Amino acid sequence: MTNWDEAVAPEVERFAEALLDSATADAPSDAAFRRTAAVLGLGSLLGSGALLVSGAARASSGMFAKVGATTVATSQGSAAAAGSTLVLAKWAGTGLLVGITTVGVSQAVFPRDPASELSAPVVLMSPSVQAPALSVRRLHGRAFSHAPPEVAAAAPSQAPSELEVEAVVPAVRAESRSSAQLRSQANAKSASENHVADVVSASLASVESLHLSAPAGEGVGGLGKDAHAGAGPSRSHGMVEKSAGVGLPVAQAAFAAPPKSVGNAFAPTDGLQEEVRLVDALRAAVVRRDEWSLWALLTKYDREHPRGELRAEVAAIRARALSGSR
Amino acid sequence: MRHNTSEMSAQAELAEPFAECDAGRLERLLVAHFQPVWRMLRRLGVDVASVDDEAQQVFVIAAEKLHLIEEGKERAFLFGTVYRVAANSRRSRGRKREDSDSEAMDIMRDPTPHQDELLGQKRRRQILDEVLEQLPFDQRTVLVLSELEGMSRSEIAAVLDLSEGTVASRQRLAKQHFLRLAARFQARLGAGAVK
Repeated sequence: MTNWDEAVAPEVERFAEALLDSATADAPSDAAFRRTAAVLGLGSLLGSGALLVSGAARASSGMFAKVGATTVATSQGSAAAAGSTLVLAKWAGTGLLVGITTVGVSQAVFPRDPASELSAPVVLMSPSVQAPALSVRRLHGRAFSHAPPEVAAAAPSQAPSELEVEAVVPAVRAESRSSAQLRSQANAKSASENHVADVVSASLASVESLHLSAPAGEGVGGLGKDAHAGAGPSRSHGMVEKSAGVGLPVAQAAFAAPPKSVGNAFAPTDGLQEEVRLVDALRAAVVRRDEWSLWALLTKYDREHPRGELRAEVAAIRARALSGSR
Repeated sequence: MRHNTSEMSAQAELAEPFAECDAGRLERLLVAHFQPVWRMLRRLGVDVASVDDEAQQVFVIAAEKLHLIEEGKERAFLFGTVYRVAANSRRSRGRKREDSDSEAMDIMRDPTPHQDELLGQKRRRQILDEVLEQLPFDQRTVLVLSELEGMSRSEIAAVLDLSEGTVASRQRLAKQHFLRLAARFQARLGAGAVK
């Protein structure tokens, strides 16, 4: 507060004080400071943006009187900025890696196409394969070590979802041959449930002997009943044993499948009926000229019945659709 | 007017005369006193367009005579230099001062359009400069050094090479004059000019 040495009206005094106070906030620009530093040959002050900015901001509070502190603060600010950049880059890289890993794991754990899983056959038997053998396959790209080359090459495109027991059929074991034939018959046409049970029994016996070749914790035996107790329908649908009522201890331990779905899964005509339904739907789509449905159904058929009985018929429908004729 | 880093580097390379002086001391001098010097130049009437150049001139002079400046008396030297640089600037200004005076008279004649801006610090600073502009330069310098820079009478006396009695006399006269001018401005601008 200024001592004015004179009797003045309070409002005039306040006005005069306000005018004088307004001068304290007046400050030069950073550019003026840099130019002067450059003229004086003080190159060390040219790049010190933090000093200039903070100096201008705090100048009104007497910051310029702290020369040493300001210089230290400037160097610390520059170092902190450089460190922040490195830390940011480091965390960005780490986040990218974690993201890639997470996406990969999620794709492996969760199937891409639940619909195809739901409708996947219990035992993928190909009539062209001569003898059954079981390969324990977990996730993508696992196993197939026991499958013949043609099967191993074709199998990854089927994109298996979870641990599943797949009957691929190399001509390996004589004891399995008769069961494979029975199984092929059952899958193709009208084998009875007892026959299917025999097939499964034989196949699971192979599984029991083969799953030991799988890595610990990944084979059939490595998955306990509890592990699949809450599994979704795709997993239970693909696994057969318990409800088939054929007494399959290994399979029971490994896959606790709901009886209802298991029974349907092993119905020998189920796959064929589904194929017939799809072909009928395809024909209807052709008649309606419903291209969207047609190609969706063709895709579904290819996905669900890569070795279907009615492939020739579907190929004919596809050819007609491509040619544009009914 | 913008100056990029390359231009500044070129200027730094040309600063041969100061290469032999104590760079550390000069750096501390610049960092510590650049703002007060710049602010004092403004309050002593150096216009905005040339205040940066005049501030630079002050430090060029200080760099040239750095070896002559005693430790602890840098501020006195700088403010004395500011006083002389500002005085020279005022003398060479001529026509600009007349413009400023006419602007001040415009403010007093027609204060109404500016009523809404009066609470702004920039506006108050503009009025301050107009009031200071009407003070005699000697009184203005003493008022700025004492009231704005907070210097004691002895310090002002050392800076201006005057006796303390002379400084006290100028200080008293400067305050009286400033108050009268402030009262006039306030009366013109209205009671609510500054709250």
